[in-house]
Amino acid sequence: MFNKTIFKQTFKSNYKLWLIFTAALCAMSVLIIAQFDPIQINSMMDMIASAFGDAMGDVLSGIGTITLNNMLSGTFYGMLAVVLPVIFVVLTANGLIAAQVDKGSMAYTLSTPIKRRTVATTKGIYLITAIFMMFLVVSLVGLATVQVTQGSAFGDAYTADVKGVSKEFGWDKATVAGNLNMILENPEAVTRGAEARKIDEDVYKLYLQQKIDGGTNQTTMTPGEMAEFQQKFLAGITAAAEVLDTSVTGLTSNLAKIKNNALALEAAAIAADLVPKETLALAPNEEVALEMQKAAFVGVINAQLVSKQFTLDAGLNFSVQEYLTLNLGAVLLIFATSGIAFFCSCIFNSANNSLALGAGIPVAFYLFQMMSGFGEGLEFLKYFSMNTLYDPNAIVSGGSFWIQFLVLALIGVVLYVLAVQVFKEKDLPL
Amino acid sequence: MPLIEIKNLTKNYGDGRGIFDVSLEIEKGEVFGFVGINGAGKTTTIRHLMGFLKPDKGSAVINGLDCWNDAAEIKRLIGYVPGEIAFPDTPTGIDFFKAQAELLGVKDLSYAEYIVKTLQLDPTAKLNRMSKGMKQKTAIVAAFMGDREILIFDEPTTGLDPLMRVRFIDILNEEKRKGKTIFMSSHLFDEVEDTCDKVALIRDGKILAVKSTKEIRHNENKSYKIEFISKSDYKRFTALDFSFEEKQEEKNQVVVNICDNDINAFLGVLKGYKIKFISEIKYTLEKYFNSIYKERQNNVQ
Repeated sequence: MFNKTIFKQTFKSNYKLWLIFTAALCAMSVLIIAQFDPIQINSMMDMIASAFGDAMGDVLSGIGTITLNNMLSGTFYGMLAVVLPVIFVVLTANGLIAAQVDKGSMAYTLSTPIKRRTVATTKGIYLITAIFMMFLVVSLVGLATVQVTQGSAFGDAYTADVKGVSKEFGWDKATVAGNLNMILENPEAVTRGAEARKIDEDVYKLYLQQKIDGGTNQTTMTPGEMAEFQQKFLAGITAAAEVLDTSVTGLTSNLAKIKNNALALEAAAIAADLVPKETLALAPNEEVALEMQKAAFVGVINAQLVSKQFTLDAGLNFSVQEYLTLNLGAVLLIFATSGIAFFCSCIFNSANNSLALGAGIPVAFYLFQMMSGFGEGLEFLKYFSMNTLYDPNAIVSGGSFWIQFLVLALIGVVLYVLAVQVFKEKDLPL
Repeated sequence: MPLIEIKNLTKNYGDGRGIFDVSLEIEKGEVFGFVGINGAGKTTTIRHLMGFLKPDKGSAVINGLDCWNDAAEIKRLIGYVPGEIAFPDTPTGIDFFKAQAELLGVKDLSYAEYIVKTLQLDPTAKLNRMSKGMKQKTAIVAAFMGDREILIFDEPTTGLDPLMRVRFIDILNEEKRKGKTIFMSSHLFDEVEDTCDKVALIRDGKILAVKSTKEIRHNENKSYKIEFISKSDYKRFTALDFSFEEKQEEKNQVVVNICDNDINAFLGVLKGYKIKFISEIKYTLEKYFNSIYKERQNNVQ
């Protein structure tokens, strides 16, 4: 069933292609992971939201905070980790059997006392091993990159301010992250940290204090009060939006803008009217009363901004388990695809036919999957594509995927078994 | 029992292509030639022997083992030169030999080295830069490497220059002395005539005849070409009751068939003529098979 010599020789003539594709895949994975910056990407989402107005803003805010896992599932595992290995698999599968039969060099392998079944099985095992090794390497390199650049593969991530401050003062990141007072007690560090987070120092100090105290402070308002409060706050933002001539959604995602514009702040403070009547009554004059309203509104904005910082920190969170599951799914999809390519390689005596179908079917699957996302009219296409069985989005957003994984594995196993059988029984022009 | 036995082997590719009811027996120690024009069915027959094709009907058996069912097992006995030479993705000849030796389970490469030397092959050359002849030599070395009992060659001398062809035939004769059984196809009559004990002629997928080359060589029917000096002698001679194969009046030449028994009578007759020259035309395999072709065609008509 398995022949060591054939495996060794197959490895020798194929490892270069494997190296090239694995290196390319690793490089892209490293780039994408290292580049990931939750603050930048989330503020970019906010920008898009404000630029496209309320409708788009609602759609985007439905997505929530973008974590590294989310981002990888959409970019790397949604496309690159499928397309590149498929190319590798199609080329390799064709070269293992069909190309050698077409060329005639298979005659030498089969003029030795090695059974056809053994030849095909060993070559199949090479292909499967190559795929699994490729993803093992990519996963390990990915995890290492997450650890080195984000610090979040094992243990908590270092936030942008911790990284910035540590760099500036030559402190150890882990020490700083474990003792945020080091920043809070050092005015220069606060300035640097606030800069890194792109927020003002007041908000930053609040954030640090809350983080040291252990998480966000719980509100003591009743649901009724809460609703009333939110209504007032919204009224304030609407007023400010009018002054700034911008959309309410856009402004919601960029509250700092109100703080920086005196006119907008005044309008918002008056419209929101957050200070209770009895407190206002204590004000000696209108001016002081207005200042009180302004201070109250700024307080709420600050609280909102702080809570946003906590959300952003959550964006740094990284789930190793999800990451490994993304890789497992990808490897199973590629395994099943390689089953198709290997089967074609075993059926056809002509390399052209083997390549045409071995590549054609996976490409069609990929296109069907893409087109099925273009609209409801085309959604039925997803039933004609094996690729829809691997849904990276479902993995990171708590959907179901294990049954699909099992189906992919089964498709692969069945195709490989059939391929060996076909190769054993067919006429060879050697 | 013959070492190689092909019985009613049929593979029909449609449109009259393929092989039909091919039956051949090759004894141990025999050198067997398989002759026919391109497309006659030589390679198809050989592919059955190698277990690459499954027969539609009939069987090919080597040493009691079925060539299809026991394809891997019979390879322990066979060294093979394919009709079309294409090598695996190994860089040089040496790399290829080493890889092939591993697959064959051959540890001792000294015999391969001997063949390499005899054929004057440079095995360090890059496979994909090799000329046709070099590739053919490389394939031949690979077939001899295992020192197998049976050698199956599909047109082994293609691309070899005349000198190397002689070397190759020397090696074959050596192998024959060692008691090897050799089955080789060719489209060249003189090549198989020089080396083979027996020759089979295949045409349109059917075996036309199997003949021992000894019989051909010691054929008692010979042909002589004679040129007369004068036209009158030519005319007088052609009027006689001989079996003429050819008459060329403008050159005063004839080709006449004479059996060895009649040779003295024939020489007696010639005494009365002035001749320019007389030469024997060898009876060749080609001639023999051509006569069979003609016979068949006449029978058909």
